[in-house]
Amino acid sequence: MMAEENKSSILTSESTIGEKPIHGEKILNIENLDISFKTTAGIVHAIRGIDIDLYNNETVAIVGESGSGKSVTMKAAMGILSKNAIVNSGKIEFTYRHDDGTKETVSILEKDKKWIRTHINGKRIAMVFQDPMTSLDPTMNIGRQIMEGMIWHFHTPKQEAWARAVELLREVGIEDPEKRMKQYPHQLSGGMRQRVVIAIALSCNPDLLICDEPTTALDVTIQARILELIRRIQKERKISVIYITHDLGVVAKVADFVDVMYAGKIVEKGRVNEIFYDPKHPYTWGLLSAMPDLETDDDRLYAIPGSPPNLLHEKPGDAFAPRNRYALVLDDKLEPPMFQVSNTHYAATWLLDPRAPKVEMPAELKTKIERMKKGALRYDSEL
Amino acid sequence: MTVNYESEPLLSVSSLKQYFRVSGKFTVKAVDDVSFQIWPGETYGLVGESGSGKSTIGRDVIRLYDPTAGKIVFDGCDISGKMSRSVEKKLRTEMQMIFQDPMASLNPRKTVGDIIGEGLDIHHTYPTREERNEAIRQILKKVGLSPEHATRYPHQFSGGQRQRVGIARALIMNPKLIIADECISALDVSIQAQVVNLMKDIQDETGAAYLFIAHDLSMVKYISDRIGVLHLGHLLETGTKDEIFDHPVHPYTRSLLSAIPSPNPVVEKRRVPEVYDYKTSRIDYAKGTPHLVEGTHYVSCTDSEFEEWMARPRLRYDE
Amino acid sequence: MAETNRPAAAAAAAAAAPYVPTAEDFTFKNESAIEIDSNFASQSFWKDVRIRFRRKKSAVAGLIFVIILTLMAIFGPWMNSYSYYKQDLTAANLAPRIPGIERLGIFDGSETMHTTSGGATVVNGYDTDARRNTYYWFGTDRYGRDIWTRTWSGTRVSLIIAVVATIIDMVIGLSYGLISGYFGGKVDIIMQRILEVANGIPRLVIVTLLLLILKPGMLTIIVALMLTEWVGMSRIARAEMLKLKEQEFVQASRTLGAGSLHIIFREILPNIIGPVITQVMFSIPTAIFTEAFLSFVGLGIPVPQCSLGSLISDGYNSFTTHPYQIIPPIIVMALLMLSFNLIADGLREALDPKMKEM
Repeated sequence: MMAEENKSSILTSESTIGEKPIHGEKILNIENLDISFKTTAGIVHAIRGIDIDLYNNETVAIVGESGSGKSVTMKAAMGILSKNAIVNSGKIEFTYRHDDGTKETVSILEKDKKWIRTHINGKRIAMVFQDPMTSLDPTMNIGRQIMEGMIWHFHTPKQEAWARAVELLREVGIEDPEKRMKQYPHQLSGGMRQRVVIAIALSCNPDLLICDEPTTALDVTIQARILELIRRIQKERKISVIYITHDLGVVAKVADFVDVMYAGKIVEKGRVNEIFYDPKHPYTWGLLSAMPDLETDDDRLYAIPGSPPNLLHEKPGDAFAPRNRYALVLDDKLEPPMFQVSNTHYAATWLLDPRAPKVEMPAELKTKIERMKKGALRYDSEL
Repeated sequence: MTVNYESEPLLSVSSLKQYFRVSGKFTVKAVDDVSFQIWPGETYGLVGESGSGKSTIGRDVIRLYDPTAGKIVFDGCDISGKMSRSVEKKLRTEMQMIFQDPMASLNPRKTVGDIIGEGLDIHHTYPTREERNEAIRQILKKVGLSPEHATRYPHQFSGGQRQRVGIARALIMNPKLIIADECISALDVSIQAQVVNLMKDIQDETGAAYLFIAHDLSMVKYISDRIGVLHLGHLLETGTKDEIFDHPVHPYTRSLLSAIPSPNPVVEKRRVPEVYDYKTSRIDYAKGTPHLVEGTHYVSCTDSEFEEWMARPRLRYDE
Repeated sequence: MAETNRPAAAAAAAAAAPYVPTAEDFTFKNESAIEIDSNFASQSFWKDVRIRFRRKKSAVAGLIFVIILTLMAIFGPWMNSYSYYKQDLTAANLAPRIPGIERLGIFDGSETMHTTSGGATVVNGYDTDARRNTYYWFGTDRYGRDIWTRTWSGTRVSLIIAVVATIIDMVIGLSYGLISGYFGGKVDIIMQRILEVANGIPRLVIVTLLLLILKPGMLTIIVALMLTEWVGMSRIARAEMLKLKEQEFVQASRTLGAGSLHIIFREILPNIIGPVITQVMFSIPTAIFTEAFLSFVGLGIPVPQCSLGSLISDGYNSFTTHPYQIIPPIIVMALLMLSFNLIADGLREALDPKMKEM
């Protein structure tokens, strides 16, 4: 969404944290994706022109409230949009390597569902859902569920599939895997079930793992361990992971890059440190300060007022403006383009325009980030 | 809100037990021998993982369940057994509950006004329709909704707005104690802060006490005066929030505190939570008795465990 | 970034939004202008239902057919001068004859009579001077009664029986199921055992026993249907109640001190209207069919009154010689049952959409 006239107004960042050349091969390229849904109430413009890039061996977290369009984006990437979805524009390109090393790029939106189901889903892109109980089949033992994908996609002989399934269970940290193979989902605890779901997702050696709120249904003490597991596997297998979440704690733990979504648009994107230690968009400010840390003892939390907009009734200008206490007059007239902060950090807010008044983030947040940086310094001398 | 701990507690729960019989032989001890007090104007946070019995305690206190054993005294009245009509009326008006799921806790076929006014209608609080409607309008304003919203239906609202309606329904009865059962866990982060702020404002204004049931420790720390840590139906540790957070004694509390995620990428990526597994810990909750640590800080354990745990270096979880 | 790849799109965006920001635009909006809570209004539940129902063509067709057939049941018998009971043995077994269409060579009153020897002759009962200008649109039966009039008055009787019986069933079944489900425990066990016993006795036995006490007629059939058909409704009501009574909004009512009756009828009942209406729509064709079945085996409406079932029964007797006599009631009954089922199907989907919208 960067129009010509704004090129001059692109800001360069004065503070970028830990910058070094990154990026391997690009494996997922979503460009100018724009999706509406035809509902009984009318047309809902759910995704309004977003760009997402994902490179090999990286983790991107898409953060947003419910209804921000983060799940729809991922459904589009997996080619499982519901029938009433209308793709207005955009493309989704997924690149993977065949076993012999040759690269292939497919355009997800142009392929039919059946082709995607047999060639991409489960095989190249695997998904981990929020609730492990609903993503497992209660009538099938664990072993069969893990072997199923291998047998279906690769026609792996049963014995080999069995051996690999045991191996996978061991990889996801389940003790005594041979015994577990014969058990049923209800015999396992919540954390264990999510480990099984991850093992199923990994069974076909995917290039991309999409995790949709993988820990919200789990207890805090188990959450961290599941996230660590996914991170470890990502590093070991050198795959890419997309997290869809609303929990900034999860983002901080796992992500390399962050896309902040609001009302179907990406409002801020950057490396995780840039988003957490140097946020530029008022919405990101709101998200970060709404979460109390253990030092927060102020009388009130900084809360974003109001509710997210109803995408059935689109208004001109910035969708966040009605809830933004830093909104400019222009916000109601013209949608802000993406302003560049650093070569990895972008934010869509008119506050970054040189003509805009200088605005600092809220004082509460500033002290909080100072505190965070101090805490971080203990670990990381780069900061 | 300053709390006068010299006064009589508003709610006093002693040796509460709630067993559920699953089959002839098998009984689930959802809550086992739990005692705590809540003083007027205070917020008591009850934390624990799912299945720890924290919601069961809330439902026992407001008598959605009949406790198996134990005594619950609310504002001087025993509400644990069969209640007289007047005691029941007192309980149903002066103690209210805010529920977890803003979608499920409002009747989808009733207008917001009728949902909020339900308590008034049941107890015939206002003699005329006009006064009732005026009270509903006032309460809607108080929770940050427009009075015109009274004629709309729940599905026309967003999650945060719906939870405000749920708060209004409890608030209109002028309760002395509000049980908030995971009332923010189904909401988005930015909306959670709105709701928590609203709850704090209400407490400042009306002096209501909260029993705040949650699994999110950072929110519990923010809103509570005192905290109780619950695991497998046992209250393991209780004290003021500073006592608990500055000096967690029970290994479970320590693991729980160490698991709090923080929105700080550098720290979070390196944080190693303490692992706690009841089965391998050789701790028997049933043998524990309350041991005083300091002030109002108690931990449930045996004498030898207490000595061992107190000898460990203090841990502060401050990021 | 995007702009390098999509110059065309950027240009289009620039053309669509030629607005050039002024210095004034870069000032803050008034802080008090933050709308604290703009409403999230989506449309009402029933409007959604209407739209979804209308989208289902088969259900709309069903609804149209039911309306037409109901109108015909009301006005059909008055559309000619015949009555459903007046016999005219001289005009027995006349084939259908419709003015206008008769010139096309069909519905001209002629019918082919097959003889036992295998030959066929065409006869036309209207070929007498007295009947040159008489028209029986659907023909006459063996007593010379007009089948048109009898078909529609039969439809009327069948519809009344079906609707009345279903409404009574709804009231009984609903109360029974809701109470059984709400109180649970021992109450539920006892009520369910009673239900199983009631359900276990074959319908034909109940009706036969009833006929020993009551005179055959509309009332008897309604009572018979009432005694047997409420079971389905009560099962649905009970299942819904079990599902809803643990919902938080019901518990919220309890914490406010609501009594059982308040919860059952004010909180839960409005929430099960959808499945109840659907079940009613499925019950009506069942009731029509049951009534027809009873009439067919001779346990139904006494002569000269008729219902679709008795008409089919009559037509069946002369089916081999005068097949046109059985066709009108069969078509009407088939259409009625089909239409009600289509409506019920459409309603079920409209009230409980399986497909999420996003």
